[in-house]
Amino acid sequence: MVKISLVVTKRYKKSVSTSTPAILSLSLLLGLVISYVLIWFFTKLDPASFFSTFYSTLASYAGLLEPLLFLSLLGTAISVAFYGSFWNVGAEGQYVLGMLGAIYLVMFSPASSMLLGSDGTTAGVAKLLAVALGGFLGSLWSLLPGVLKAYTKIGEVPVMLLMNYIAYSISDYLTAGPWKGRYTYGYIRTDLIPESSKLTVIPGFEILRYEVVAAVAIVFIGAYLLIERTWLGLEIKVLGSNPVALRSSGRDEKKTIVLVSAISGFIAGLAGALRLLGYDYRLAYNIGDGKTGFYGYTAILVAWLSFRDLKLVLPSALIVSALSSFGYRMQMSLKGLLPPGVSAFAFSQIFIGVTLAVYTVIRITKEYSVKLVVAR
Amino acid sequence: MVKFRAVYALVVAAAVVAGLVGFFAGSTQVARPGPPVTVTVVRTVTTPIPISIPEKVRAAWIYVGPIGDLGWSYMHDLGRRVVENLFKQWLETTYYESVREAELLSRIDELVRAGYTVIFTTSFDFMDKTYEASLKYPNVLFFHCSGYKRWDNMGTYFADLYQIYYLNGLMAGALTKSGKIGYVAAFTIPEVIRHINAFAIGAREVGEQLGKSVEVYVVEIGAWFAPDKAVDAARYLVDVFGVDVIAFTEDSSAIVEFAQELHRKGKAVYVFGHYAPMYEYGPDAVVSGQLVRWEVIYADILVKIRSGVLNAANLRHVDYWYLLNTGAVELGAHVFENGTVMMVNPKYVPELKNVVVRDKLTGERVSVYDLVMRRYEQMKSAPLLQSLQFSAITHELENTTYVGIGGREKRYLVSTIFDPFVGPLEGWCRYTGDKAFTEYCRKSDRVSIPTGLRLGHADLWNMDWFVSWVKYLGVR
Repeated sequence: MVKISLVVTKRYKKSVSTSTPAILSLSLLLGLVISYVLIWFFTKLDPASFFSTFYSTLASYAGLLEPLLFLSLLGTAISVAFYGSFWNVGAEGQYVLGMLGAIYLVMFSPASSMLLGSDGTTAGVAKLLAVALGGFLGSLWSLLPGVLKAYTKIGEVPVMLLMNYIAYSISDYLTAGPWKGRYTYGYIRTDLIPESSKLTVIPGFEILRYEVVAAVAIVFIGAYLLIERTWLGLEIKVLGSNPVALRSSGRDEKKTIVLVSAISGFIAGLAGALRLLGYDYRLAYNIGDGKTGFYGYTAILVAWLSFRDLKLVLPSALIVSALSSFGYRMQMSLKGLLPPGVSAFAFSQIFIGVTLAVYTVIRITKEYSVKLVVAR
Repeated sequence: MVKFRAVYALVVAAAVVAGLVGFFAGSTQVARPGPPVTVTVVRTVTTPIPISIPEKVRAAWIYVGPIGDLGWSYMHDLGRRVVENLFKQWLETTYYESVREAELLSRIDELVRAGYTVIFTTSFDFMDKTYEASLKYPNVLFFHCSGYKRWDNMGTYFADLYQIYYLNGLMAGALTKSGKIGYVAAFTIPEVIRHINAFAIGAREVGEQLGKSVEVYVVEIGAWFAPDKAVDAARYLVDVFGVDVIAFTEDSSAIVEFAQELHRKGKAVYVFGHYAPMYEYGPDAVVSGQLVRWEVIYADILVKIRSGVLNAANLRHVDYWYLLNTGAVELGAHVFENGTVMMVNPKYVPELKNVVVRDKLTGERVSVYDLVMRRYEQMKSAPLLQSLQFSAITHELENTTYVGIGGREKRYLVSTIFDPFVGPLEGWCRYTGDKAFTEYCRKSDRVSIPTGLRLGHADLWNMDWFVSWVKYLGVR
């Protein structure tokens, strides 16, 4: 009788001393090579067009900026939570709540008519309030699972996944009901937000908005200072690595969980508000049908790639944006190599998937030794 | 260490201040009236765009959905495949699928950079962003499907199915036992309202004569592609309202498969295929359906570009509105291998031939099958109409049945001799007041089309009212 077992042990002496940036680069490289082999298997695509497409994706950086900014914001939100082992898979819902807050303030609140007159100064105030309200609603949405985790030990992951759908439903309810627009040509959506409440396009970069760039800078630096330079940041880190130590040092573990959930949700809500004011300009029915771009979920990948290292959020967001944009561009190269009517879209998702898989394997083998033991 | 901290703090402080300044600078850069100041105006001199007849044409399509599904995007891509192979000597094509509105401009940027000079965007949602792109790239020709915004280098096009829905309705009126007919609508936008009404008008034209009190129940699902919701709505219509015929606007074969399943269980619910050939998904349940041939429009546009007729300076009035007479739409739910169309499922031909009604145009007694074929021919044949359907300028002439020309002939047939949207018609407004799109519904919540009045292009395009025997059940 042969007994085969897989023995996984944590490496205590970090014998494999590769740094996270090195792992990232290695995953990207291996991911691309493996994806190419997979694609080649189906289409016999020549390597030159594969790698030149990847190069041109990076070269035409403008298309990457918009996902990069939002994935950075949401990635930061989730990363902060990861430091405290608060697994914020609810960023998608918090992002939607942020959109609701922003559109409420600029279209349906009493403040909107007061602030959005012809005067540009108060429009600035309205935008700031809209973003703040978005952040506030996002943090409320994250606070509930945070409080549940802290005080009742109910795991945050299932609660948050459910709450994402509830957020979609609230948005759909408002869009089809009280917020349904007049000038929508019969479609179920809100009207466009007032012109003066839209964020400002940076001349020469149609895809960028001043306010979004500023927000990314502020949020990123703020999160970095919070984690690395404050007591709360230290508590969050200890909560993530050794909650027992936090408790025995007399600190309130529950309070830390609640705070980290609120902060993470605030950033995600902020991102949603900026998205609405800067790009979407309205809500549409069936928001859960890809209208958010699923950025709240994609950002989990960003946070995972930059695991507990905020400095890596930006490069990780860049990698994820580049891979998804690359996937789009590959559709063009694959056209003609696939049977007519077969979607090239499926292939566009290969790169992210494979790169993440490689990354995960490398990380696991770095921290754990895996041995196959065959015994008789 | 202290020094490092100080520098660090300074850098951080500077970044935060810069960020805040940027935020407010951005927020407050809204055009507002200020005191008069001296401004040096740099006037952009618009140089005329050099027009030359292109030797090669590079065209790109941007789809809202995946091309693998049997619906809207699939049929657009079929059109692309036809022209790509037919014009391979001078045409090169590419496409993007499953593109979201928010990323449309990035995709267009990429296509323009890759050298594509003709871009088709095939979703109503793409209208505003396509318009923006047409201003940004004045040398690129844009064609937007289903919208109404045009520019020098941006035209619009649409192939409409309302006549086909009317023909489907005639068959529905003959086949229904209960008189209760269901319709699953993606959205109640004017296009879909027009289709529902045409279907309802056909159904009542036949059903009434057979002593049935025809009612059409509409459920809106709020999505173009949502197989689960579509089936859910269809089941609701069958179970709660007892409908035994279903037509729909949703880009999958889900409802057809649902009806086929009911047939297998011994419950006869008839269904009409939508957009793509769906007969194979429900050979027992599908009676007929609507088919589209975008290639008819794509071929016309591309030939006109290749021959220099259409260019980046003259698209402002180009607005294709192609109906049955052009071949861009077709009656049926199946295309045979040799390219011909099965108009009516052979299984239902005997039944439709057995039901006899009166043709309201001539008073003759004919079978429903013959009535369908008659109406088909009447709407298929209109030799002069296609020219009018090419341009926004001539759309208003499309409901001109005859033009007086004097002489021995006295008058000349311009449009189709039959159209379903001729008064008397009574209806109620889906949208009223300032939410309405037509004058009828801005003024009142009821619509009454006088006898003999034939609705024009604008009435059809903006249709915001249901005929009185349509019951709207809301969003589900």
